[in-house]
Amino acid sequence: MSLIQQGIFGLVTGSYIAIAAIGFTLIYGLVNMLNIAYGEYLTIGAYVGFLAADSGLPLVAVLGLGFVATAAIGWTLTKLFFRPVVEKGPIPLLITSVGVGIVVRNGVRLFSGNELRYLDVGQPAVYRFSALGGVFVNTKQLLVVGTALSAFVAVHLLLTRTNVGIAMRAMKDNESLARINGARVMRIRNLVWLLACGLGGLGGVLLGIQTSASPTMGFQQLLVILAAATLGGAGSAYGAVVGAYILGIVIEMSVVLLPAEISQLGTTVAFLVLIAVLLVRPGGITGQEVTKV
Amino acid sequence: MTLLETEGLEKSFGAVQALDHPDISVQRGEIVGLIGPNGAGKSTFFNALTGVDPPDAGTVWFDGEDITGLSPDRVARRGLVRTFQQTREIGTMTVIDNIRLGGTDRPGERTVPALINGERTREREAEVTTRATELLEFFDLDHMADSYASSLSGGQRKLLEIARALMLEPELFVLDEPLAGVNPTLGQSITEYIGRLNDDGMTFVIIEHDIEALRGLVDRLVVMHQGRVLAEGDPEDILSNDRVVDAYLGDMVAEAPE
Amino acid sequence: MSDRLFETLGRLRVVFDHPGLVGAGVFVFGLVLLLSPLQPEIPGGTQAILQVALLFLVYGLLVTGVNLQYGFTGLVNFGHVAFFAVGAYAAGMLTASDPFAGIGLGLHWTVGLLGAILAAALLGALVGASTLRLRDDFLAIATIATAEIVHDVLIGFESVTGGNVGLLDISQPVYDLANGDADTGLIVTLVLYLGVLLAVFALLTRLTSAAYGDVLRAIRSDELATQALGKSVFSYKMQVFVYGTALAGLAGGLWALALGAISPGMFTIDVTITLYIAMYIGGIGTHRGALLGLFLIVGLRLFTRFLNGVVPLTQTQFASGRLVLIGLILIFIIRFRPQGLLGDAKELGLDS
Repeated sequence: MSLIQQGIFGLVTGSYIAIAAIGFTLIYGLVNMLNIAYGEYLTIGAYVGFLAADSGLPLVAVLGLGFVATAAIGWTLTKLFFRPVVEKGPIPLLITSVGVGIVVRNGVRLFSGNELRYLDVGQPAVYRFSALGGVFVNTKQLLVVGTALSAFVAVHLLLTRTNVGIAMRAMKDNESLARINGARVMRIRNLVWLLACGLGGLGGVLLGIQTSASPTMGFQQLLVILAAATLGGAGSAYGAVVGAYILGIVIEMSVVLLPAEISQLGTTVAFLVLIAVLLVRPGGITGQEVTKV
Repeated sequence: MTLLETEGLEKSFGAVQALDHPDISVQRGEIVGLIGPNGAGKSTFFNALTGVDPPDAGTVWFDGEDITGLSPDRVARRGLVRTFQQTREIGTMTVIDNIRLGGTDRPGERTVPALINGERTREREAEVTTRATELLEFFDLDHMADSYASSLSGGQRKLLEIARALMLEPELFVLDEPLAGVNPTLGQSITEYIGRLNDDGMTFVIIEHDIEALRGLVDRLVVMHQGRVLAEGDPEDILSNDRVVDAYLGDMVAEAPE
Repeated sequence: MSDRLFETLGRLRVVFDHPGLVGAGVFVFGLVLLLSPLQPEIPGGTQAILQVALLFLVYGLLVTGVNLQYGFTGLVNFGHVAFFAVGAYAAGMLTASDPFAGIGLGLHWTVGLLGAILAAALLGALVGASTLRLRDDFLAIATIATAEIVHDVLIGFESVTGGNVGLLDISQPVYDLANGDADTGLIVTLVLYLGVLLAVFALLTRLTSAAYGDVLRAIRSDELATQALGKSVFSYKMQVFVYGTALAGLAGGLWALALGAISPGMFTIDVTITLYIAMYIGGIGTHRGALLGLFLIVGLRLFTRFLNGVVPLTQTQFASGRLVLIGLILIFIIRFRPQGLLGDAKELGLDS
């Protein structure tokens, strides 16, 4: 497997991680919460996608439904479980999200069992590029990358061109503003949650299309998502995207670059990078301002 | 003899220069009042002294030693003790335990003696408790000894913070607005306490906004403005100094609504 | 609810008042039992209970350690399982004779146990020195990442750690001394480990009842204020962190030496999560609380295992159902009773 081929895999991995990392970062930036249940949004998205694909819906509908359904479910979970505990501080909130994650993961397993569910969106066409040394790309991969790029553009436009988006950014930067609980501010918070959960769901559908849907698939991605967000700079959506692609490429390239014995340690390398960043530059690549205790 | 001396201190927060060479020296046995309009850099100065927020440049000399940049605990152990503008009592501990926390040389604070809990350890704990109780009585807080510190009023918290710091037997005690938010009678008591401690040899630097209260207490006033020392000297002279009045008035005009 | 609970606890009081003595006594009893020709038999059907009891005792060491770090001092260590793993694998690699895959040096079990504690403590010192100055949430991330790294390394370096299969043929001193009788071995192991747990409990209680404990609680509440009072906060955080990880290493070593075989699946983030749930249910910042919480969780696990034998649902469904319940309990506790069953709300600053 050539380096370039692995690089392509890295772009694909980076893509769905990036979508999820944006969502994760939005939550962190809004309520200063490390949402350990975030991975479950991917899982929910994947299962919704599975049900949609199984019902014969076209690809666009599968993706859209994944986004919307997860947004709704995620928001409901927030209202039920996270909102009531927000004032208790970031660590109780974190622990609550651990609990919610456990409930969702095992709830899914309870209803669907451990079997892998495959999302049937048709056979992918494969393209071969002899110019780049004979690398293969299939349409599923193109779909993932393409959806990711569209999502980035959409989010960027939302954050910079719409009133809602600008308000979101203002709330992230201004802590006292974020603490106000007026109706208008609440609406913005709701939208952020919907967007963040929806993005998680979208990432999950894509991941499900790439591989399959299973109860722990999202949870398994949680740490890489967390790493991407931290690497990029806590609270910066753009940084999260950069961090995600860096990690995705590092992970996939390690398969080729590391000695055969430890070739599966790509994720480990990613985490070592994360720890190094935390120690040297906690603000991440984008250099976010990090307040001490 | 000089107990504290600062030279060339600099500190910036982004574009704002909070400390700009406020060269100050304090003699042993003095009570120095540090005044100045809001944003003059007084608390930043304290933070630079005590290692809470080390300066970008410059030196702090304490009792002949360069203590610049030492961590807050090392500064405190050398005898430079501070209180905070917004009291930092441990709300989840009782009043007496808060004060006992300031106790020094407690073997029970180290792992092995804590596990063995021998005679020396227990003796020292008893000593600490006795001293803490004395301070409680000195500050008229003994009736609150077993209450959680979170249940104290603002003024009582100020007293608690001072009492707790006194357990360290400071050589130089720097107080950040000890009278803020405290009713006049209590404020009077505090200034009396400070006077008494000073008579026994303790040196003080006090940040205060209530200049009236400082008037009769301090030996010398230092006025800070925009990170620098604007003027210093005898309280009466300072308070009739035009430049000082301008500095305060200037800020008052700036803050006044249009 | 509280009354009957405390009544039961009251009867256990004698144990908790003198845990050191009881622990020592229990330990000696265990040795006597081991060396005597007695061969107690385990009544059929209770095998499961005893194996869960073993889990409880070993996890008990884990939870008291992480409670010291998080409950008493406020250090958000979300990677405690890493040190458990390092201890277990150190003991494994030092004492296994012919582990099929991975390293096995075949040394004496004492070397294994000591090695377990040292290895975990060393890793703890390394991690602590680098991460304890970080803010809470970053510390949580760094420790989670550490645990994942350890877990991945255990799976990845097959020639060293045995990969997914793990290490086999680890020294099992108790069984050896019991002449290979599995029942005696298990019972004696339980008795000995109970002694160890009680002894550790005694030590930590003494530590936190002393002035040392006051400093820890102060650090948990306000690090800066504690520093301003002349306490070397970072030094305390390091000590507590290393003590906790050393205990985890001890737990790992004891676990490996009891089971004789270990694999990476035993050392996932679920272990850490279980510990935190135990702490929150029982009451963070109290040693008794941590053990009580663990007891309840383990008990629930056991209870559902029995129920599973009766109710016609699959194992997976049962396990999932139990976990859903546990997740809900955790959510409930954080929201309505964050001080847990035995914690002191005022001491934890939880009543406004």
